[in-house]
Amino acid sequence: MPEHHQDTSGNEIVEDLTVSTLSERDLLEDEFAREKERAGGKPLGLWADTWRRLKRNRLALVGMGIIIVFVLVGTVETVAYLAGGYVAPYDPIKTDYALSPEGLGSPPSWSHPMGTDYLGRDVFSRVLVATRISMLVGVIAVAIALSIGLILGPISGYYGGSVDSVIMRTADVFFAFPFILFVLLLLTVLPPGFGSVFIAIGVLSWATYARLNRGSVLSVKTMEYVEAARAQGAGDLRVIFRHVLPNTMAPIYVAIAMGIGGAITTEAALAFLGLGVQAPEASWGKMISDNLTYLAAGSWWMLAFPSIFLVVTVFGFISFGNGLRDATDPKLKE
Amino acid sequence: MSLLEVKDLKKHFPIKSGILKHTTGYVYAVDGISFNVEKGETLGLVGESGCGKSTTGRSVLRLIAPTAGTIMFEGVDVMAASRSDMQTLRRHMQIIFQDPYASLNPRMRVRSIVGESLKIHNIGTEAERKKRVFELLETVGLSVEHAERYPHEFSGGQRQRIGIARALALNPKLIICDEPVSALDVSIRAQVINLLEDLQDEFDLTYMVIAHDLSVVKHISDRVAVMYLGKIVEISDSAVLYDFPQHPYTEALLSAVPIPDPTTERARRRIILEGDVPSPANPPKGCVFHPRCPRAQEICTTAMPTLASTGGDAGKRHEVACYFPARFTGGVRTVPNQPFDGALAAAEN
Amino acid sequence: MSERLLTVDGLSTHFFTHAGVVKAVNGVSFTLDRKETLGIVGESGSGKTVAALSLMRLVPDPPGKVVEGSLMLGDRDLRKLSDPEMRQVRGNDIAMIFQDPMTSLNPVVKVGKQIAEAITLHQDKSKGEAWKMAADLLARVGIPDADKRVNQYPFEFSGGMRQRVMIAMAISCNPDVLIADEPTTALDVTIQAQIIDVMQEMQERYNSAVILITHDLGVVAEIADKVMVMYGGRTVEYGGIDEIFYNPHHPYTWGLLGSLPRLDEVEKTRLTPIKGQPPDLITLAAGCPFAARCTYVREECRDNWPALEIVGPAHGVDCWIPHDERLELRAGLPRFREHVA
Repeated sequence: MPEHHQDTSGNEIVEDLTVSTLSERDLLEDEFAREKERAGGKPLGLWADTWRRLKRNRLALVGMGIIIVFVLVGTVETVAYLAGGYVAPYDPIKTDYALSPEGLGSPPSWSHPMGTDYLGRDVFSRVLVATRISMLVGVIAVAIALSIGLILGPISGYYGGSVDSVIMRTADVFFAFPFILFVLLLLTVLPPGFGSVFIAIGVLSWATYARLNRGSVLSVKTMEYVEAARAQGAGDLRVIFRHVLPNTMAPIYVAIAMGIGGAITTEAALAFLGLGVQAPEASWGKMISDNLTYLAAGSWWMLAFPSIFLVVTVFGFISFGNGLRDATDPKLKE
Repeated sequence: MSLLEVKDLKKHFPIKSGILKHTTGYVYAVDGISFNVEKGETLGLVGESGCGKSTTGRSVLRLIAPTAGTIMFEGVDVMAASRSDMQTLRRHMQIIFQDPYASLNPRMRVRSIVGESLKIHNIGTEAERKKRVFELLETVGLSVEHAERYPHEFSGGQRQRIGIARALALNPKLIICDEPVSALDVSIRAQVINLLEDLQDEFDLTYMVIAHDLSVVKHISDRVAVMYLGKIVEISDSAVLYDFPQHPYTEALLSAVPIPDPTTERARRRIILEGDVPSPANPPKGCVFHPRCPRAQEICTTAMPTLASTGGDAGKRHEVACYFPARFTGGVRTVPNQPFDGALAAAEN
Repeated sequence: MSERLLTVDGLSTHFFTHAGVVKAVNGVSFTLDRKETLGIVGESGSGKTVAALSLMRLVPDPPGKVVEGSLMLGDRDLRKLSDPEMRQVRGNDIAMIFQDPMTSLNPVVKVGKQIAEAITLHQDKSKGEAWKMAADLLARVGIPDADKRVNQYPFEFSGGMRQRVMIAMAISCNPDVLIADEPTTALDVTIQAQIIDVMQEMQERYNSAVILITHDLGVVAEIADKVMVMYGGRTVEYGGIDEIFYNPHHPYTWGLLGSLPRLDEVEKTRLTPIKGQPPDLITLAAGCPFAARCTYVREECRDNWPALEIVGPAHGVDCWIPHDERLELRAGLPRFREHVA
């Protein structure tokens, strides 16, 4: 049964829900489980329902596992970096010509499970450390996008009229530009270095969250509890940020998962083009870019492993995001 | 001075269409109604869908901005009130909503929901507010441990009680009850109706009850106003309304309400109205009820009759907006052939 | 002597879920004669809708299942029919009208087509004939301009009109039994009066029996010949209309009657509500499902389901309170005194 959402149009991240992935049995089970908990007198958590539904989705759980590993590694590496070091079997940056010519650019072996590149660096170590870049990009870029989008979105949706028009048309402009090109443009004016990459990606992604959120706001603002808040004398700010916004977050969490995946991919693309991370730092995209030429020579491992990490990580975010979306389907609640 | 005085209230919603969203028409949700609510009484506002009763309730609270008319609360002009005056007014006028599922923020705990108004108006310290919330919960028949829970953990009747506790938080003088029991199971309705009555006695409240269930309205109200298509067609004491309905719509409405008593039902004469209620975007000219009225005549197409008392046995508190209202003299019902002068006031102006 | 159309005996429908077994309907029995109207009264969790769906074999399986009971339509046991045979029964012998006319009509199919479809499924008529019959039916249920309106879509009809369309669809094949599940709950009271009128007219014209499922005792008083009061999946009282209203024997029935505000009450009397909440169907304890809310509850009530007691002509009640004590308790209830014989 087609689900009619007043959500974003023209945005690939959240689609119209068509077929529910849950069976009748699951639906009834949910209802009864809820009734049971209620009857048992235990207070129900707000996420209990979502978690129960999420647990059924194997793919989403796998995705969640990937994300957890990713975040752990990324955090560890970030902390290490800030402390001036790294956590890896070998130094990821120091070139080691001491490895004999046979050792430079060597395929996977017991001592170097992912092989080495032509500068004598252990691929595995570099891949590990590069996780930091990807995680930071994901988190910081999306955080920036959210802080803009989750202010403009609710304001646009709540006030409507000309405010809404202005904000949404501005968002349209941001949508109209091919994203990478836009980022490139912005990067030309920002100082070089990967900090700018985060900012560029973040600042240019706000429109997705704003548009998405505005749709939910349009329906939530007509709810009676919003009216109740106004009847009690709540001002606009309180109504928007205490009542409306928290109830529009469900699709946002999904968009965040997808957005982080997208940001990671974008950073890889930019690194591939030579922007962002500079040598000798490692990022997955940079490793792919640097080692592309060697592929023809048969040195697949320098390229393959960062690619695998990249793909698996993004896949993890997307699967989890999909699972989360199914689990928070408002039609299946209450 | 009445607690609430409403004069000639109007609310017209513009209908926008086309790319440029220009106004092509209006929905005449409320089209010139006047009534008073005295302190301590319960006024019932009854009517079917599209009659404008909910819009009226919300307009009184200025949750909707009225198009025209005056609303005076304790002598203060609600429509002209400044932002800070409105804040003060909000402490005196509160509302209970129909849908116990949609009227509580699902992401807030009960204590936050009930205590929010205290926070907004900066009343008391954190500890005092907490105490007040517990007090309120117990007043409505819930218990203190319910404060930490979320709305979805409660049944419909309990949620409605939470809504009532919320409305009482600021010690209001007037509470608008918008369909307070229609979304509840039958056996729960009586609980909530009794609760509302008890609270009225305990806290000296004044109610405006908006509902479509005439039995409930008659039971709980002192006076009842019957609305049709944005107008008040009759207003009187609730007991009188059932025994001596003057307006043809009131008669039809009363005869349509089922009474849980087979003998009475078998003996009843049912007045079935033809057709559907016209759209409030396109109300009939003249008396809004005339197309469906069993005793409509030429004059009914000219102008909407004014709300006035027919005097005599009906008394001053019983007003009707009809050119041919039924009269009851010594308990005998007659419908005069000549149009009622009191209703002509509008036609003449 | 009226023809017996339907005999339901010991109907039990359970839902088997991982969270537990939901005993939605337990041991419900009733009969229905031609031209009779049975009112099934109950609130949320009473099982009344599931009982009706069980009759039509429309309970989703899994997780639901009619676990026990016989459903005799004339001399056929509906539980034993094959799927194609049951499809023949639905619409033809037993038809159903649902609660919300907004959602029970297909919004993208013309009204005439929906009715014609019902006709061609069961009767040997051509499409043209079926459409003509559809237009006739619309006129018969009181829709003006039926010839024009038969070509319209549901959104072009108001709520009351849509419900008339549903009635037209239901009676299109002249069913013996018409089940109406809360047919007027979503409608305004003057429209409700019109719809009830139409239903009674159709019942008269087609000699059908009607099962009316509702929580509104007023509507029941208006058109039912007999009443079955359900609570927590069970029948608590069953009898003729006058018996139920003027000689009620079950505390739940007293509670229902006593908690209703009446339009014709002369002096305002305080309502006597039923304490507590409607039941949770998973955690139904053994014994009488009403025990948790009954003011007169006793030990036996929680342990076992009470035996059926006949208290009047065709009037049965399931309650542990001894007969005489019940009469005494009832005499003490305020809202009753005027109404009880």
